Amino acid sequence: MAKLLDIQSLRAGYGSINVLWDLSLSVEEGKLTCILGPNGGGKTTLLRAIMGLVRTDGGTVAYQGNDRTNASTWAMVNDGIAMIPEGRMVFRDMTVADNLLMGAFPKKCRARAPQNLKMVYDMFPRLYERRDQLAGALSGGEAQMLAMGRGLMEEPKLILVDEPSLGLAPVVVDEVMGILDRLRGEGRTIVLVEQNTNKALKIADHVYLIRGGKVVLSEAAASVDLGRLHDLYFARDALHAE
Amino acid sequence: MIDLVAQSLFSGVLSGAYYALIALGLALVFGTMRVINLAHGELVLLGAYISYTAEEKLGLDPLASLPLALTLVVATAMAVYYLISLIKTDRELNSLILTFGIGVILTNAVLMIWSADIHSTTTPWYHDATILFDTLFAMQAELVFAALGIVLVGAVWWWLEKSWYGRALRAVASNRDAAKLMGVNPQLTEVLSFAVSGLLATVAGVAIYTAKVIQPSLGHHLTVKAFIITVLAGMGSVPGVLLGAVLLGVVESLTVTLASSALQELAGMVLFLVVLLLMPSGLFGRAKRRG
Repeated sequence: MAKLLDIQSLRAGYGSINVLWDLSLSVEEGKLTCILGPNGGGKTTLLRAIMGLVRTDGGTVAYQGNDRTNASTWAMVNDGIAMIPEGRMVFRDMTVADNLLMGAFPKKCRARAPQNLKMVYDMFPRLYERRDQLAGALSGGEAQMLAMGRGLMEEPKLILVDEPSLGLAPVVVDEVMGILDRLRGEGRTIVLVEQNTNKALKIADHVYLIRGGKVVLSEAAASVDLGRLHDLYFARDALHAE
Repeated sequence: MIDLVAQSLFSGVLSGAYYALIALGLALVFGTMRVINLAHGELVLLGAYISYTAEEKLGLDPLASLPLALTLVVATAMAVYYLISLIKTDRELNSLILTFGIGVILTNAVLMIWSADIHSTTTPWYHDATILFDTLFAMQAELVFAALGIVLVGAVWWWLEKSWYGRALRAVASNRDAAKLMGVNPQLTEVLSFAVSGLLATVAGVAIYTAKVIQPSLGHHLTVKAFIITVLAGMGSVPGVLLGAVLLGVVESLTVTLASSALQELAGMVLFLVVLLLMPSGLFGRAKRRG
């Protein structure tokens, strides 16, 4: 399978605080790649750096074989990458329908916006019921659905999903994971950043564990040993190393 | 007495239409950039003076001078945008100082080029009176530009609600990073908002030139009025801007009729303070949200 996204020795951070230290990973087309790791490990920074929301200080980001390091966020979106950001980041003072239509802003998506809108409403009937309400009035789960629907309006080849389960009730988390699984089944390429290890592992093809801005584990999801994963996650390996 | 009040209300509504044009421009730029353009009134003034020169030197009717005035004012608005875009840190605060300075420079440039004399259109048609419903008096210019103002405000509203770029403008105002993730280049929407704001300012300028009198110190007063209306409306509501503008127009007009024209500016300020005190998020602003 071809590498859709290839990241080599990426360094990025905020001002004088560096977060990612020579991080390398790749994403295969049609697979669900899961990025796990503790808080502050650099998962969100990685996604933001890929999308050009955070400046990179070294390394390369290649997408579809082309160097896209430090490309503008809107250029990445126009190339077919959608990011469903942490905390949903819906347009709170716009209606649900207007939020979804914003997803179709890239010129190539506009003509098919009506069909895609229907597709999203079929996938998330709650959004259809609430289409004329302000997005700020939605519950956390509904806002997550809206953020996902909005991302799908972009007709993405690659979807970056940042902690979709954050702050949601367990039953809603299952629903969100079910939808990601279904999208993968439709042949979409997904990068899922999660802290909910068990649920993410069930739908992932490949797993990366990021800690302290570095990749500490890269394995096929099927062969991951949960005990070792948790040791690495909580940095217990450092204790046993000596 | 009833007739006087009715006339006063009517004149206030007519003034409200061009106030709305000025305020909407200020509100658009504030919405997308979080920048209060303190030179906005001077853009209106520039439009008025270009229209004056076109009539005086080229014999153009004020309405016919609109394309020329639009070109020059929008170009000036672009220059203001360019200067603001050079600010690297603390844009919200530094842009206040910058645009205040630009306003002073523009006012003095107008004073140098056109002198301090007051002017109004010399085309008599605009000042001709029309009587509506047997009692209400209006100048033709007031009616023409009130209609044009309402149409333009409506057009901008439609554009913001229904068009791809209008929606993008609202998205940038709502959540800048999320808008980028939708493929929007926020700088492009900023340029757009400045251009539209320049367009509205030009029409307002020509309206003032035909229906009122112009003089170089007017710009600053217009900025203050636009600011009052924007706060009255609650940031980011187009119908609110229109109603806020009409409210200010009516309050000023009633003050002149019932009290004294010396109190006109004061009345606007009192209205502003009362609304700020009682309804801090404006007459049409949404209640402050948690989180």
